[in-house]
Amino acid sequence: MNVIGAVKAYVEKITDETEPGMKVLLMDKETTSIISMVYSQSEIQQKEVFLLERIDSPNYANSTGLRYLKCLALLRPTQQNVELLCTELRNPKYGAYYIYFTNIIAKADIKLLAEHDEQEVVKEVCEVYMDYLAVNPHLFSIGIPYCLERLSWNQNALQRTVQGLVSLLLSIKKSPIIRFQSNSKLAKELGSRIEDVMNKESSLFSFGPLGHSLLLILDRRDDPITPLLNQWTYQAMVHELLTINNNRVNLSNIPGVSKELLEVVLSAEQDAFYAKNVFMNYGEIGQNIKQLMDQFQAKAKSHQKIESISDMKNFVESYPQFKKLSGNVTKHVTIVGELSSMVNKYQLLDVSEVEQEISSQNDHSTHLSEVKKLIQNEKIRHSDAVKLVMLYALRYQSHTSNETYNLIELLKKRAVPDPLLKNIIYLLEYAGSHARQSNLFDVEDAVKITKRFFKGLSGVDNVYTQHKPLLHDTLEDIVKGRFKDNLYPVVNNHSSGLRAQDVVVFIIGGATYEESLTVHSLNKNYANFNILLGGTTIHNSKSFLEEIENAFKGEDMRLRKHTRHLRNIRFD
Amino acid sequence: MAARSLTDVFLLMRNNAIRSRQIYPEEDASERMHLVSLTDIEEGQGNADDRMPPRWIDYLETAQMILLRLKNKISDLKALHSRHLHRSTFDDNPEDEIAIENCTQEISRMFNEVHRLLQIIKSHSRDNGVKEQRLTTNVYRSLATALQDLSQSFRSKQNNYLRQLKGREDRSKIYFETDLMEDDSEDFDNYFLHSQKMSNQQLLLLEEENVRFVQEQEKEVSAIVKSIVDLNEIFKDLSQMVLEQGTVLDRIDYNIENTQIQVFEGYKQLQKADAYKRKNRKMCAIVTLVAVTVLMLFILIIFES
Repeated sequence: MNVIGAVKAYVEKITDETEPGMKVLLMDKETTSIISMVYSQSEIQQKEVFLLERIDSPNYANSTGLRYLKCLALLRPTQQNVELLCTELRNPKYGAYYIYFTNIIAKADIKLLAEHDEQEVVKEVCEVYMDYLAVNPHLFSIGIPYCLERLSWNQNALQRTVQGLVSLLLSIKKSPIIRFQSNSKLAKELGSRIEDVMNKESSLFSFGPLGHSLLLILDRRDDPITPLLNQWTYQAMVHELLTINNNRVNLSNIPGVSKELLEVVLSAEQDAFYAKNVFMNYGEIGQNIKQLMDQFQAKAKSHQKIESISDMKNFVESYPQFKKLSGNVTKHVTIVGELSSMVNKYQLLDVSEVEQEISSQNDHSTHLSEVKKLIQNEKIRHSDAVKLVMLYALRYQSHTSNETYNLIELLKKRAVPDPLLKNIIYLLEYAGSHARQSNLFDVEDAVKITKRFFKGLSGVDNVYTQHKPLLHDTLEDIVKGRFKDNLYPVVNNHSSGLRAQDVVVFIIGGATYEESLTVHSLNKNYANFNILLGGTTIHNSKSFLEEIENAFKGEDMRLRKHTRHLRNIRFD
Repeated sequence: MAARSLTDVFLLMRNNAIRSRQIYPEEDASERMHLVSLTDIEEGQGNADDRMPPRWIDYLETAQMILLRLKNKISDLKALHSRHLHRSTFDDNPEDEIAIENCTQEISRMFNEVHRLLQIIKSHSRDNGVKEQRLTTNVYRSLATALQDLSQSFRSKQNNYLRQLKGREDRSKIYFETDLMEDDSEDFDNYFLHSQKMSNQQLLLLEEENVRFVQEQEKEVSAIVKSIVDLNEIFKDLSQMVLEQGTVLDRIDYNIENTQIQVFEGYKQLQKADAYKRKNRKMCAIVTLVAVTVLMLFILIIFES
């Protein structure tokens, strides 16, 4: 169960099956991203794919034809693509066509294509199930930034998500039982749609007996805390502070950055240093960067003294590797440098400490005074101040002396812009206690109290990583066989069956890199369990709040149900 | 990794579609049909260039073939090297060395050949349309990367072999020198006695043999050094390729976005050029002046006659 491996295997299949000869790869917007996540241009060129084209680009239709090329068309089975392909087949630009759809395609569409293939140029039609973005070996995303519309599914997003998950299950050859979060309409709808597809295409899903694997569909609303926190592991931190978009990081707004670093790629497949440090925390990265620098300096020094012929020979031999290393070093040093300057400038360490404490401890008066103190601190960013208030408001929503109202007044005094303040209301309406089924801040549970007590005795080893996402508990319950059937019922009331070894968790409303870390460490600790994590997208706090805001578009916010007491934020 | 082939279904449907087209041909087409399709001829002539593969395609095939052979040759060489280094007998059998030398030479020759082909392909990269230029550049790059990898592995193998050879010599030197010392101490007198008995001719022969041996060794080393020097030239061109691997320049999506931007820019430039051309005032002035001159000439002729 390795999604990057699965997508790579498909690409290899596509490029190897055709006869030798020069090839052109014809893609659409989404398949371009899918391929880019796992293959680089130089790698695909080694497979004799020398041209890359987008079928939906505006000038594709009038570009010249090269009949001596073979065309590999890798497309999603959408209406638009089928139409474009029909016009293409009527006037073929290339000598032979091998058509691959990334998902299940309707027979009617195939018929349409067959009717347009008058010159009989199509040699092969095949479905390869790679309709998702493979981010890490255990992490995938569908790539939908906004999946909700007035708090229910946007129909296009739902369709796309169903397709993505179906293709994922096919690519890892699993026909799982599907469980969903019982209080979420979204999860239930998605679950039954997938079940429908599985029943309809039962011949495809015949991978042996049912029940050895599990697809668990969760709703982001059950854990709104995780995407709000500041992160301290490399991948998560880069995403929170600089934003990773399909493994690409845009550094163009860092002052004084050199031209070749305006945009960099962070891919564990091609970058050994990154692969090693994806899940390391901020302090460890500092050390590792220093090691990398030392290594680099030693190499650089050995290149300085060139006296004999053999020195020259050695130099010439290792020069490209040296240049590559130097590019890599500059990239990571720039990124880490930027991260550290942001951490210092916005006092993120202080902010994060309070965030972590609110999220994992229970002490109303201390937390309140700490939040108040930080709000009055001029150095921290508005967005961080607002996030602190959000965490406080979620944490102590039902506390008798809740002071969210006063905190908002304080924020107003700071001249925090209005849209940010409105986000507090959106968040509380989206994921307040009315919307959650698990006790996110469960203090009554006896087990947890003892746990916390012991933790208090031994002291916390790292104050910045105290928080464990809710997903951790959920998955641990699965692994230990304590899973509650009433909270996570099976779609269509099938029998729950055996304990699953292979688990695919999907979060509607986006996963986070912190959860990816959790899954990674669980996979490592329980060797006979295989867990994959997926989400409609991968969130940082900014994109998470944007998605929530978007979910309320068109809703009349003056009639809000759960935050009527916060009268100091107005919607007109 | 499940996959489903729909080729059979597709072929069936295509055959059906063809059959139904033959049964119900379009009506107006049958009457007004040209005996020979006009557009086809025109297009056929117009697109003659399109249908012809570029001239360098043969070179590409040759280069790919050579690269494949090169890969085998390099692994052959490795086997020869290890056989030469690990053979149990102490006698120098020159067959191995000759084989190694031949192999090395052939590899260098092949590298040079591929490099030459690459240059030819590169020289074509300004031919024809934008798309073909892109194709040519990509072909060139991918070949260069493959060549780069191979030359890297070849050079590291060569160096390895040289180092081991040297190491062995050093080691043997230690042994033989100590041997000599022991000889010296034990059979010192003996040695002198024998040596006196050695005729001058024998000494000369021994020396000649030594010289020959040393020369052979030197030739071996210099051949290897030469092959490395040859490769460096190729290498210069290629080092750039390695740098780009792992950067954003090697991303598929980035490249596609970039070409789109470039095409759009090109379109804008064309529009601009068009506008300039339309506004070509000089031409207007020349034309009017010519017209006026002709008119005046007429008037002159009419009035004179």
